Amino acid sequence: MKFLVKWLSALIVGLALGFGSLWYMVFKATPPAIVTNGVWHTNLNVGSAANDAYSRLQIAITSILALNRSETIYFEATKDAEGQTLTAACDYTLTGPPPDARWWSVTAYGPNDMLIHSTGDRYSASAASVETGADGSVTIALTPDGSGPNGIATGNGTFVLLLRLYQPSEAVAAAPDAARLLTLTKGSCRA
Amino acid sequence: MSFLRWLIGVVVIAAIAHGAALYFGPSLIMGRVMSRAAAVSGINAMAYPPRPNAANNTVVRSSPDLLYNICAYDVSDKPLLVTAEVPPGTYWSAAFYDLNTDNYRVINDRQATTGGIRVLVTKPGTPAADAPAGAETIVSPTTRGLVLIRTLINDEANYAAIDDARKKATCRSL
Repeated sequence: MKFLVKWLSALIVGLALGFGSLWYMVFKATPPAIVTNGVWHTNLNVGSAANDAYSRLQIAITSILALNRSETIYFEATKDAEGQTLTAACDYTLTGPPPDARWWSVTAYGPNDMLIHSTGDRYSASAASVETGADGSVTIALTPDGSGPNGIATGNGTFVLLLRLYQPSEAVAAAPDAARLLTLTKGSCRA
Repeated sequence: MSFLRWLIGVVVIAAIAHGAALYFGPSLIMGRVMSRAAAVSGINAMAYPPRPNAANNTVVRSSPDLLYNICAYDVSDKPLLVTAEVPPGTYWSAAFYDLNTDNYRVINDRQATTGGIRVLVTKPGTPAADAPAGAETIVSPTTRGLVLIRTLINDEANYAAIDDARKKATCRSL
């Protein structure tokens, strides 16, 4: 009995250590191919056989079937400029010139990485759907119900933003860390 | 000494769990995605899922601005022939993924200069000479994988035409 308890405890502790350390490496450690640009970050090896094993697993869990860098660059934002997790308890605005790509879109996803339910299917704003200002700039409201200019619904919990750049310009592809991307500004928050 | 043996056991179990999940995780997740696609259309057949929304979303981070075609394949016995027409005036691409989730090939609308694609997907080590006339051979790094065709809905007014065009895509064993 004592022997069984001893090795059962070893099994439980071992599995917890093994999976816990894996979770940390996949979701908390910074992969080698990560590039940061303001609140946005991207893994340049998405979809590539050159990707490291931890990044491959992370992408399989959160964004499987992504295209490789030669076709699309995916910028993700999970936190605001102050490092606070994006939450529907606050409103946000994305502003700036349209990203330099053949086509682009911004989509909000819930904590389960699925689309967020909203009246009117306000899941995303894209080059095809946004109304631009007189100067050609873009303003996108991020609010719980997707109200506001070019609004995207953020639901009622934490969320992530995914900025897709399909066939980005050569300049963006060469230096994604220096690309002009939409700027995220935090607005008012509710208690 | 007894505690040392216990500690070594813990480390060995942790290493095996960590390494096994790291190594097999992507292919297990891909296998699940393939099973979902095959449940709709079968293996080596094209599925035409509806436009993603919050109610029908089954794949993480799908784009609501795209229409997807999915073909889960197994080329261990026979190669796979993929054909598709490129809808005019919008972004389109056919992406090929191996079981390890790597996107080993993409053909987009600008590269499909004949207005479509005719691609033979073969298992690793298959000579290109087996391709039928007019087909490009792509060697899959793994015998199982997935083809995902994306068509951008660039204008809601053209939705019906874009949807019709993307449904002309096929995949089948030869």
